[in-house]
Amino acid sequence: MKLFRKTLVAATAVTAMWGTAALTDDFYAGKTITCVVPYAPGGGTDAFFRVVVPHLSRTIPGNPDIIINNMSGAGGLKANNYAGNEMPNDGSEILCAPWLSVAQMTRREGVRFDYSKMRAVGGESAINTAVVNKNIMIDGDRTTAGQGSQPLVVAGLAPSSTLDLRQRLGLDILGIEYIYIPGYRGQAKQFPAFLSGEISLIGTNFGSYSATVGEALVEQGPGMLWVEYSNTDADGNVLPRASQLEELGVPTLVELHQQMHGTNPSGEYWEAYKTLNLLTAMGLSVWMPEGTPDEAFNAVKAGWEALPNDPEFIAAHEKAFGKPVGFVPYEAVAAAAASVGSVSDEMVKFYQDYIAEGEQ
Amino acid sequence: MIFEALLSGLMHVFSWPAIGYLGLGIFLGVWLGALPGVGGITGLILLLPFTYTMEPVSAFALMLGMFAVTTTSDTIASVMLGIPGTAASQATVMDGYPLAQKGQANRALGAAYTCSALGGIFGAVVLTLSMPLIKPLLTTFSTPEYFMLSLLGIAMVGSLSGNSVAKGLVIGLFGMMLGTIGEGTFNGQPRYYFGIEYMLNTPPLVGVVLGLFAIPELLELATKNTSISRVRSDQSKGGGMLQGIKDAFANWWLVIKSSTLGVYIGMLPGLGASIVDWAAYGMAVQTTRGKSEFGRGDIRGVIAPESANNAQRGGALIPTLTFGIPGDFAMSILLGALLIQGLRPGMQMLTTELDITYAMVWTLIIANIVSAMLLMVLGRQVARAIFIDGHLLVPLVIMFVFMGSWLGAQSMGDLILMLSMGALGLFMKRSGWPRPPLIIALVLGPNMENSLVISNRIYGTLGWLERTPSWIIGIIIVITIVGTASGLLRRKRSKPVDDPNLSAKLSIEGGERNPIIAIMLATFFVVFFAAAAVLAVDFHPTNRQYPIAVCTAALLLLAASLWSDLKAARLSIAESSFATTWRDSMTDGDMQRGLTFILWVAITVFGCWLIGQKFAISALVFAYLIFWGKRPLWLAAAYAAFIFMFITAFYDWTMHIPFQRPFIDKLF
Repeated sequence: MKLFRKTLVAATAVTAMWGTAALTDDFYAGKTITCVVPYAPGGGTDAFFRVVVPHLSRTIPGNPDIIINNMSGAGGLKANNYAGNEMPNDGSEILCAPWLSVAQMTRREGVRFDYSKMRAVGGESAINTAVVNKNIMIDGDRTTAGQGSQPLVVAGLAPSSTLDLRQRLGLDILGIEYIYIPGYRGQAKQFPAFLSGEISLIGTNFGSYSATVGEALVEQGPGMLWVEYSNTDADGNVLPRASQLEELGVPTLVELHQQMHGTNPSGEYWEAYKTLNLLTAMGLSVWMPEGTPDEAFNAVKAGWEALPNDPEFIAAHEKAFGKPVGFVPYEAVAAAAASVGSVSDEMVKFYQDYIAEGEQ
Repeated sequence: MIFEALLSGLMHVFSWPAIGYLGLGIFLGVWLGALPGVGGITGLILLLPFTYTMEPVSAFALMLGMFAVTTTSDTIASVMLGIPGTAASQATVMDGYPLAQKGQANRALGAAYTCSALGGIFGAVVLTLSMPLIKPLLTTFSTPEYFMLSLLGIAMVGSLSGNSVAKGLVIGLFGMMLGTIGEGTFNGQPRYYFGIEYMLNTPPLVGVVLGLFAIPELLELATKNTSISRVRSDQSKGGGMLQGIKDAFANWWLVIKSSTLGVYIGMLPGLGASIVDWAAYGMAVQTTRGKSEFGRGDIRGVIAPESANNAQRGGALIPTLTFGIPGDFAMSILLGALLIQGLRPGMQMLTTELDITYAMVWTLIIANIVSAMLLMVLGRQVARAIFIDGHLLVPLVIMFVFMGSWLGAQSMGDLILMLSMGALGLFMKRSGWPRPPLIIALVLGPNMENSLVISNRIYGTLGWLERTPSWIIGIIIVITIVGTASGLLRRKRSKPVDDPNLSAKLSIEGGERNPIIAIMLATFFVVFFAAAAVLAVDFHPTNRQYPIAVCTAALLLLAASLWSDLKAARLSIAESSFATTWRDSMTDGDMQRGLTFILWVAITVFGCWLIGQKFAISALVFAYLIFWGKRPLWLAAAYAAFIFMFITAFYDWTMHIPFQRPFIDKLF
């Protein structure tokens, strides 16, 4: 009887799965998905999704055609606002973007979207690091940053940018004095300034760094990889680090703090840093608008989740970015989206003030 | 090793299927460059997905082949229509369009194609020789120098593109103010936003260019019932393509100087494409000896920018390949393609992957030669278009104007921007205010503000002027303005060499001067700058310094230009009466018909919102041919159907452009 019941359950499950699969298969067969990318062609975000799209088209049941629509503007706000309000919720469009959780949390002017109402498909993890001019240290000793012959001048995009916030928080956690200069719009501005000695520290995503300017800055230039910004989980525990940077001998923020001060980091900057990690659990993410039917959502989610195990995609990703795929599961993205609205008022105020301080 | 790599690179390009893709790229580039508002960047975006599965040499043969030649074929719109095909071909309009109006389009195109090929080849050679120089160049120029170079660009265009240095500079400052719309440099605070999401961004360049240049030229064709050429085909003199080729070789030294300048400016990230043609044009104006007709159809005004803008493409490739630093938007796309191909920018592009680098260089050389030859073969037919009845050209061009503007941000705001700029362009043209400085200032303005504020923060307010490279550029700026102003004075005293009857018919930048409209426009600018300065007071301190400084400078210059216009108006009123001068101003040059044309464009913009672009633009074409062109019903219907099909096939099916969702769709 037990065996019969198990068989029945299994048969029901298989039928249900087959049914779902058939339904999902049907949904996108012969259709086209528009992938809305909030930045212009050619940048890191665009390059990533251009590598992803042909493979996602293969892994989504029904094999839809996917085209990219670059909807640049207002630092990504335009596309996010579009996804949060006007994007058709029939499964024909998806948002493929770095997510602007800090903008939503700090109630930045012009924000008209709410991630907790959108449907998170999944994300891609980022390894954040900093490149410094060796001259800011004494004898190349990382713990002496800011004490060398050159002042520590940090290049930034904008005070509200996630990359800049992480950079500044990291330096404040370590207790290092620095001059913060925002306004360097993108790598094309930052890297020549670094090479000319005008600035001495830039924050970057390791993938983009190693694929483009790594050699020019470090091997041919005056730079060195200084620190890896530690990732933390929802409870603030430090997560295992990226193997690539470990192999290069680059310490994490926590390790560097221990080397400099003999203790683990703590205090308001560290709390803010952990909140930032929670809000930016992934570098890039995929969203569908509120009200998207389950069959469309499940199909895209299934396609996205299949990518990290797809040999063709892994090969294409490594060829383009020189590093393995680091995907963030759907659950983590959904949890991060839900958490944006639950950040304490005190922390929101901290961030608003901290951003305003960066503007001075 | 270098010779082997050179040979190997050449073999790569001539191997199959790379050579086939190169041919395809050249063919596409010729067409995409010729379409106003489309150009090389759109082409790169279109082609990028097709290169994923190709070998690197084939992929770059297709992309670079296409991209290299768009600066050759964009000359067609500049010369034939007076519309800059891209930002890099603005200066060509200055003399190319007057040559076409004199019936010498063939000569201008012949010279332009030859110089484009020579410039492209020379650029590729200099590129090869200059690779070791890129690092010292990049490290010599810091943020203050980028500010000064941008200022030089605007000063150069402002002073070169009209008959009044003050007006040119005011328009440059107006463009700089348009560049401040949107998010501030250092924080997310939107400026001049008024709660309109479209205005969270700087206005897209393409809508501004097409509105400012194309609409006034179109209504000239529409209202004057003329062809592009103001002389009949049997009366055009000295306009052969062969003459253009001879002109190019006769000015070989100018070609070499301009190409070299093009390569080195191309190496500077963020500046290259937008100032290279003007830098070469300025050099030609200031170094030419003897009698010159710059601005009125001097062939050297075509040769210099066309040599430089093709050479610039080679220069821009250097920092992209060797440092992973893309000089401009197009190079960002090429860098993306490089990554997708698994290639890494850096020393390996000059060592282990040197053959691939040289394959790219060969691609540039071959593409430039083949496209020039192809365009020369086609050129005879293309140049005949200048003698075609303007009413048959207007519908086609207006479709490109509407759809090209839409490519900016794919928003109704793009069409409203194009319309506003069209109206502004009409008034500017009628009153002798030059238009090119607005474009270059809009391109360079945001970067200038960034560079200025960063420089002040790092080196102290104006402390960066102590840097040697900065003050050297500062001296060049002063020389440019003073030199051009004295050149203008000399030119005003000398007599033009043209037939005076023909001169009156030519559409020359800054050439017309309706004093009443000039005063109206100056008043508009006074109100604009004053209001912008008042609004800026409420901005964040870092965000308001630049707009207030720009507005102050503009108001001072406006006082000078208003004084000159008031003097001209007083003379005109003294000769007749205020009422006569006013009436003449409004009827002069079919001003009223011009405004009617603008109204038609406005109704079409509304139609795009109501029923979508495909139907609205086709309806405009149909109505235009019936009411303005007085053409038979069948021709109007066939033309409108063709436009509908072209929009559908090219912009919808090929480019996958998201169209405006018609309002009536929302009702049902």
